[in-house]
Amino acid sequence: MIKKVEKSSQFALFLLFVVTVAIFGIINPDILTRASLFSLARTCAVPAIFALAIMIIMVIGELDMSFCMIGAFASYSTMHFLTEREMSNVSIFLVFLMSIAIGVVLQLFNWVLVDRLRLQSFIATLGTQSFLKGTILAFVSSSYIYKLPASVNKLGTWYLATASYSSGVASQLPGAIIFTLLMYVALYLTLEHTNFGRQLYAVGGDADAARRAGINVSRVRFFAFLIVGVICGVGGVVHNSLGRCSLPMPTDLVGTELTGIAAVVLGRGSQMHAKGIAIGTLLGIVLLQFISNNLIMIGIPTYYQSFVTGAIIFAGLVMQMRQRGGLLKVLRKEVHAE
Amino acid sequence: MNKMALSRKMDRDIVKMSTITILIFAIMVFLNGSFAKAGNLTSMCYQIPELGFYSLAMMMAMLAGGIDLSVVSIGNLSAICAATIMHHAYAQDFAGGKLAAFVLLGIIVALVIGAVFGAFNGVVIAHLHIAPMLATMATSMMIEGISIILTQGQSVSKTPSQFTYFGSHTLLGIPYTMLLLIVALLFTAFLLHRTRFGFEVKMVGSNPKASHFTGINEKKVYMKAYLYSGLISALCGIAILARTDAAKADYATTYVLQAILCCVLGATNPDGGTAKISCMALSLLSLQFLSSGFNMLHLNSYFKEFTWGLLLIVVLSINFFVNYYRQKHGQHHREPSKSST
Amino acid sequence: MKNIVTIKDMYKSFYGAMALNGMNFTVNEGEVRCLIGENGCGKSTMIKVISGFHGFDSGELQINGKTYRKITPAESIAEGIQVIYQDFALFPNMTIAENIMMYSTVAGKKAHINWKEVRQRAVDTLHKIKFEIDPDIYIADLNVAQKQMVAICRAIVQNAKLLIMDEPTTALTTKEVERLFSIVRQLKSEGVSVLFVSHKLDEVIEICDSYTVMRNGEDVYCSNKGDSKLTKEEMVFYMTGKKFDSQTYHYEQTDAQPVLELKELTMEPTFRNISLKLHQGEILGITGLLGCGRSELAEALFGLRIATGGQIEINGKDVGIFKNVDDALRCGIAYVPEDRLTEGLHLAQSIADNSISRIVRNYANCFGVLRIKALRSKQTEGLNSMSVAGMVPQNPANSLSGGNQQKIVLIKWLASNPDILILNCPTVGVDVGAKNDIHRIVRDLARDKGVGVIIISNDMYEIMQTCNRVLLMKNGMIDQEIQTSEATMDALEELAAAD
Repeated sequence: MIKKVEKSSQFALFLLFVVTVAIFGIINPDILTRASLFSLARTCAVPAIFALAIMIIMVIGELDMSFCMIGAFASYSTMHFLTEREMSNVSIFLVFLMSIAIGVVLQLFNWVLVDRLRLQSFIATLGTQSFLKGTILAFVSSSYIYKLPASVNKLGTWYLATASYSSGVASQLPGAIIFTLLMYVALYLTLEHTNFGRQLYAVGGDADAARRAGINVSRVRFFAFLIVGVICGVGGVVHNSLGRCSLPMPTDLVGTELTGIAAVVLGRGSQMHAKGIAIGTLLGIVLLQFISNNLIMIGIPTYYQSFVTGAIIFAGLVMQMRQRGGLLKVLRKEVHAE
Repeated sequence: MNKMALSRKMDRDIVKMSTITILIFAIMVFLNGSFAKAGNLTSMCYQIPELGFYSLAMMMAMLAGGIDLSVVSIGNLSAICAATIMHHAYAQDFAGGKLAAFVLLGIIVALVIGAVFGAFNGVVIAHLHIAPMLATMATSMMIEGISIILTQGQSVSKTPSQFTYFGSHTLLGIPYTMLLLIVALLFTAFLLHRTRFGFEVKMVGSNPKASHFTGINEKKVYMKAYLYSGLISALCGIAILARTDAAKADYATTYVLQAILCCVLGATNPDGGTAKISCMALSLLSLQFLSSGFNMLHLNSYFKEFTWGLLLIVVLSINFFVNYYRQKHGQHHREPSKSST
Repeated sequence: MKNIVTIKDMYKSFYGAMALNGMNFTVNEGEVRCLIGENGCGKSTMIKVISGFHGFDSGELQINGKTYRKITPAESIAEGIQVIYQDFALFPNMTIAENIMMYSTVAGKKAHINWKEVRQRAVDTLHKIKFEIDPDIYIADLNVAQKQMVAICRAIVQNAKLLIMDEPTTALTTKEVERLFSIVRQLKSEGVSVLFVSHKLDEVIEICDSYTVMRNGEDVYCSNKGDSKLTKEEMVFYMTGKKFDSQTYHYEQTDAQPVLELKELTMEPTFRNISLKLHQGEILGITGLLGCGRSELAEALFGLRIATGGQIEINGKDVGIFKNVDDALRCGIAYVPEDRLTEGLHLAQSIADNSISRIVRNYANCFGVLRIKALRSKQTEGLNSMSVAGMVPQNPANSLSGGNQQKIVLIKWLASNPDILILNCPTVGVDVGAKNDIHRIVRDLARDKGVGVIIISNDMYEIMQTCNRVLLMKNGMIDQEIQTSEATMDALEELAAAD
């Protein structure tokens, strides 16, 4: 069992996580109180969902800069639609359904650009992101919606437990993290134990080889983007519910794109094996949030956050390239399609 | 040698680009009579350089087969450093030679910052072999982080008016910063067509392996390309500082998208190996016309973002279809596609 | 006898170039058939049509009696056709066990993966071909021969009716080739038919029951089980369309100083103690089975790899070893690489720019500014020095055919007036006409300009046609030296293949 853990791609990340928590905890034991951990869970809930979305995209070997915007767009349009029609008593399921539907449609649009037109995914989705941001702000509305449907508010105030800081301030553990964890478990099982999940890894490993193995690469990408659309839709609603308002642009999600990518880069392990990326991503996002939440608790001002996050991604990338043997392997003779 | 083939190919891209530019100009004039007035033209010339420099920096990185997402953060950091130094002279009420020295120092420091971080990008990409997209994403975050640490999120302003003079005045009717851009464009064009470096960047961008086998030092080429990109970004930061008298860690991050759009629209191949300064300049004009035109029609800035996004997708798609049909009827073989991560 | 695969009158073109030009082909049940042809004759295309990777323009494709106008990879696999491609198409980010079971997993369409079963079946298959290795190792960590074993396992896990192997022995040592052959025989005894694609005549004769010879996209000869076998010379005739010319390159040995001399050049563990002399005007061939170190030796002579010991002398002067490409260029060495598409040319750049990419630096002043006029005239001079069909200088290099592309690579290197020219498999994938052109150019270069030429090749026909002297490499060392005027192609092949 020890050997299996050691061999796991995510072991180094796990070690890094433990060491970091230990160091922070020693400097300021207040960080390890229940209240603090609840707070961490609360701040991780939404970024973790979005990290899951970009994780799937990166598993199939692409990038997406629009996933946060799609989440915000899907949720905002839903809320806008419902509040305009004064439908404040709709069930939460309907809210999710609407947001998911929009998220799926938008991500499938990305699929057309990336799979059908074979555009470079980063640049194309940069276009999508900007296009959607402009669409909603210019054509729908730019105002924040504070009066959300009752069911959404109920979701936002559903707490599993409460704890208090030494200062007396209460910290709640939101029920929303159950959504997050359920999705992670579902994706973990899919990626590690189902045919479809392995095909996702295969397409990301070598799309050409996947084609020759009889895998319908376009269809795999289609379903991948579809699932990502669902995740974005869910993420948007959860985000709005926790924030108790709906914003037309993900201003507080803006850094989340890069944090999500960072979490996946950390989580895929230095050798980028087709294994355990879901666990790694979750670890990654918790680690990054932990650091950015608690820098101030160990005396480092908040404005160091950006640099620290960037430095962590950077370190993760350097380690991965060194493991892969760098350009040498890439420059090895590649057979080209005729 | 068949000279006809050469001029035919060159014409196609420039003609296409010129048509688009003129068309957009015409539409804008039609929608708003005062578009063609001198006042508007000059005001556009004050704004063009910002996108212009960032696009030029981006173009160099793309030509080398990569991308530089840190152009804006390098520009902002350079501006912050220059502003801090110059502000000191302003606050201390220096005059004459001492003032000039500080202003000059500020500019030099800004350029050095650009070169250093540009070179850093180069090292990371050339020697550590990290994919340019991810590498510059990470360095962009770190550089912006440094800017935030230095300024604690505040903007640095109040630089000597002798400096900001150049950001708000013209020489022979053309703003100084615009002249600087034109010089930069011409110099880059010269670099690309008439120097060894320009030739090698093109080659490395289209096939680094074959370049290595031909004796081209592709690592050196990457270093120089990203260093140049950093320098131009720093120049942009200085130009922004001169015009706005303010430097901030997160100023105008949307320029990254716009710079990519400007390059892609302007016949730069995102996979590397091809770029045309003339087309990029025309694309720059087109985007500026659109931007100013939207302002005059009182469309809000979100409409602009909508248009940039849509335009980027449309242009990329058109390139795809054109290539597809060209390949179907021509002799060209498909090249192996590149993955992004 | 039933046919597994029947192809009639098939045509297929890629962006204007004909890959299949009226091809006819059959594979019968229970036979080991070889598809012989030079690289570039269309073998790979036909394989990809059978496996469903490519469609075809016109003609008939029948598999197991069923006619298909267009077959998908999944359908082809369902029909029992398994292909082992030259590049194996394995997933580097997955384990051996998963790779072996991948095709079955996909074909099985079961939603859930039973890892225990996957591992067990993988182990069973590895055992079947007597290849012992830990199935949990990741593909990225394996060498070529190991990867091939994994690819074979993957192919036989499902009940394959027809196993197609595309140039399987390219990267194998003699021992590994023997192991491969015994596996093929074992499969045959179990009722699996094999299509063995190769251009190595020795192997063809050893392993096949029947063969089809292909040239320029069509079948030119077909034999069946039991028919009398062709001689190697006859095979070459069918493959190349030219009768083997027994004339060899004539060189007068003088006592002049060698232009290149290697003294005990070593690069552990790939090659050791290589000592040779190359004189002006000589064309020296270096051959041997792949894995003998010949390619690596060439790369070490060009600074692409760094030797670990020994020394190199240019015109009698000791230059040590080459640490980078620049060192080699300074000594007047030119290298035409094996893979012109990824190593030799910038496909997206113009033909004109490609032709001067080597010498551009010579036209730059200390600031890097180029003397454009002089450069342009050098460009014109270079492009006119050889007849390159269908060349428009400003068109991208990928608009040319393989043979013409190789000519541009030659022009690029000859522009620098090298003293030593090293060519690595220069006519792979080149049509017969261009191949003869290139051989002629090389011979003229040596004879008239006194350039010292080294040709690395495993094409004995090419070696015999161009070289006056051949060095045979085995396991990283020089085994023998042969004068081509005193040898025959058959003898050469025999010597190379012998253990």
